Amino acid sequence: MNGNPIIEFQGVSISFGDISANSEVSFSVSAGTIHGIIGENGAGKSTAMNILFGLYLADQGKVLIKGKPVRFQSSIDAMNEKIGMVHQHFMLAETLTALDNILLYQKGSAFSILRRDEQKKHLEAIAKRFGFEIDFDAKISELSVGAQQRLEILKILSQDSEILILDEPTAVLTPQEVQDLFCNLQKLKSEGKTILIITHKLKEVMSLTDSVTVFRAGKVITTKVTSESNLAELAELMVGHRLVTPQERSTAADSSQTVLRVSNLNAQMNSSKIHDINFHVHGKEIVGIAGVEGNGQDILVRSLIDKQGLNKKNFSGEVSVSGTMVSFPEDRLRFGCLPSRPVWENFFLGQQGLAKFNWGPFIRKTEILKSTKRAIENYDIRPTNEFLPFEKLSGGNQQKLVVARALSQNPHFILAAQPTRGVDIGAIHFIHNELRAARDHGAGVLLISSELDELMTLSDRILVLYKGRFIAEFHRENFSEITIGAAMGGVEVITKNAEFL
Amino acid sequence: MKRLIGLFVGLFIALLITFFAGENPFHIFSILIKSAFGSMYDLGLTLSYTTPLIFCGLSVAVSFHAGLFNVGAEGQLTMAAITAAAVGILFPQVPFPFAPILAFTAALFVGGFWGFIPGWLRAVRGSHEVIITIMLNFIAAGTANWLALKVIPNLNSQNPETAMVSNNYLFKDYDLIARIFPDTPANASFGVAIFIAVLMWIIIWKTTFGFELRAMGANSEAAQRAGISKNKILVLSMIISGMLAGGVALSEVLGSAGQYRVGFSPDYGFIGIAVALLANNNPIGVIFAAFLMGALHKGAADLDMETTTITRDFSRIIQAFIILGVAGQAYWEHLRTSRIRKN
Repeated sequence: MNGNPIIEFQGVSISFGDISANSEVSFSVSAGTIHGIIGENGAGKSTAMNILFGLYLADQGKVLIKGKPVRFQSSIDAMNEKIGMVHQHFMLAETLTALDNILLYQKGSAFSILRRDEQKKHLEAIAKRFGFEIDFDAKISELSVGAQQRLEILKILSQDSEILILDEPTAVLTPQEVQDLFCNLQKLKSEGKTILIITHKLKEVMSLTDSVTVFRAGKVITTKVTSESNLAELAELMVGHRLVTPQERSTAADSSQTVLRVSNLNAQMNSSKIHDINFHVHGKEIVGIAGVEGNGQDILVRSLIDKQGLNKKNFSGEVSVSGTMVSFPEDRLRFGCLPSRPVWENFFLGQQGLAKFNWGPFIRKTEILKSTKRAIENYDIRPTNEFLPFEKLSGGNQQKLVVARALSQNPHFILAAQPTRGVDIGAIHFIHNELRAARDHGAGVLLISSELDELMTLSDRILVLYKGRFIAEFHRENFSEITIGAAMGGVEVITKNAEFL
Repeated sequence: MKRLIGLFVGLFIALLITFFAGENPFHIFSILIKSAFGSMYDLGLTLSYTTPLIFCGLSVAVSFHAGLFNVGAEGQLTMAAITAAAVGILFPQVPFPFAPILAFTAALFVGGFWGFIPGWLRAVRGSHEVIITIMLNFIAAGTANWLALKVIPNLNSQNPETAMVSNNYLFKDYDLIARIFPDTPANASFGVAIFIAVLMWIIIWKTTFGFELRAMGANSEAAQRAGISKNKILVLSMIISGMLAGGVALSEVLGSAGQYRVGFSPDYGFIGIAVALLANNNPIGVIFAAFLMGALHKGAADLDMETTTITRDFSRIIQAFIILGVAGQAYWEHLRTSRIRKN
């Protein structure tokens, strides 16, 4: 950590109500480096960055930019200090062109006149210099996700920002797009820009950053030079204890049993479609579905769990599940729970038809509470309070409850859609192990995920969904990030098709 | 209980306005209190306002629990009341204990039907229940007026009202509450309303159906994923809501007036929305909120007579401020919790 620090946090604390989001956060970032900010969900890394970008005001402590203490009242102050931030969810006006979106961001009076052609030339020069070329006249809705992200970064570069904060920039990108992004970021670094990247993907930290600061429970645990650390060490620092490495599977898929069979499925909902979907899931088997989000995963999930809710015109084909089925919803707050209701009611949701929880028309609250308590204990859900509103739990604990609810029913078939989205590393491990245990007990699992790592660690087979079709199938022995990633991007369709059943 | 803070803030502001209107707010407040609870007669009148407000508050509260907004309690109670009167006039021979039960059942059925329409339209067509119930309020008012004035009118009176129901339909002679408060419209249906409020509390909080209903209200998409039929809950909750509003027929037609009078309701259905909000949709809380709003209504009516500057419409202003106070506090709590949740 030599060189002159461009950003310095000195004992920064902030709390919201009784919750301390950052306490005594101190670290520094050298100019012209790529600096990783890692930590589990709720560890306070985003809060710290939001303080740096002027979205929150620290209760205590100092932030120094180039050795000069600053106290940003709003993000406009931060932008004046040449700090820019790309949020996880893009802040773009969908109906405008790329050029207009950048001009919207331009400094100066609201009434100043901007010459479009001049501005465009100026921006094109910047884009070319840093390798962020995009079609400036295209509407946002016509741009790919990767291009939208390049546009977000261009917005910042057009302000001559020297410090870039990127919040989970790779969450929505294909592996190829991630590679492109990293190349461009390296280029920016060589131009002298300082880049802070918030992420929970340790592999990316290793391949991209120069140094890394680890957050845990609102505190900075340490700052390390990346080349002097390794994956396992960083993971341990993040979680605070050693992770048990997943055991390889001991049982083979039970091909005598087919728990899910989908044949000739065609369905459509709003803008997402799937065509000619054929596959099956055996007992004791985990089948993964890979694909960049928005390639038909949502409609596939709907077809499996709620085909009655779909318009009959838009649905054809056969879906048969043998035995009982449970699902983890892809968006737990939207589809999986009653956020304002207590934990025990959320545990009851979906099991309200079970005889053991009913006495005539009445609910057996004591029984439900007993089962809830058992689940809270077995799954280590914290805080251990079954009367707490669900939304007060952290993301990882919420998901653990959703998983506990589903798996405690001993289902034959599990539809796990994005089972670890927005969940911290410790909980991811836990949920993965629970899924493995359910599989070993005979359940078939369909795993839909946008995390290729997750699919590759859990699945026996991976099917790749691209634009509503399965364009490739990989067996465990052929798993490779490069080929699966390529298929996710839609390339090599023809050759893969030949391989496909 | 928390909602009482908002209530008092609203009341305080309303009294402040009386000050600007040139009245002494303490004097106004004392008139409000005295005319609501000052004597057995006053209390009887307050209770007679309270009863229909309990029914309407429950009606709105149940729909809120299911995530619906029943603005149609007014129409539902109108249809139920005219039905009770019509049954009482058209079937005078039915013997006593059965007659009021028959009329009340018919009233609940029609009230429930008037709730079924928006629920069913929401389920099959996706029509928004607020729009449909508002339109049905007008249809109900028109239909009831036509029936009262053209089909079963009171030929001995100049007032817009139906004929009297047969005596078999009235339970005045057995009515303990009416005896405690003589010369007022207060009647046994107050007890029935409290009983139904307790029943609704049990249904909402202790039964599987109630859980499904609340789950639908809390997050309809999650409820559907959990195997709860959205259409079933939509339709059933609106039927129950309509039936609850229909309970007003018991207190206003069978319990006291013995006939349907056009305009008998001072917008009980709409005040019911305020009652439900004030009670935070808790059926037991609805009893107290209805009593409070009933007292306010009675008190404000007397302000009209006792002062020169304050008119009957002022009661509406006080009610509006109380709703603003309560809603404002709820919003404030919402803001506070969502700010914590963000982080």
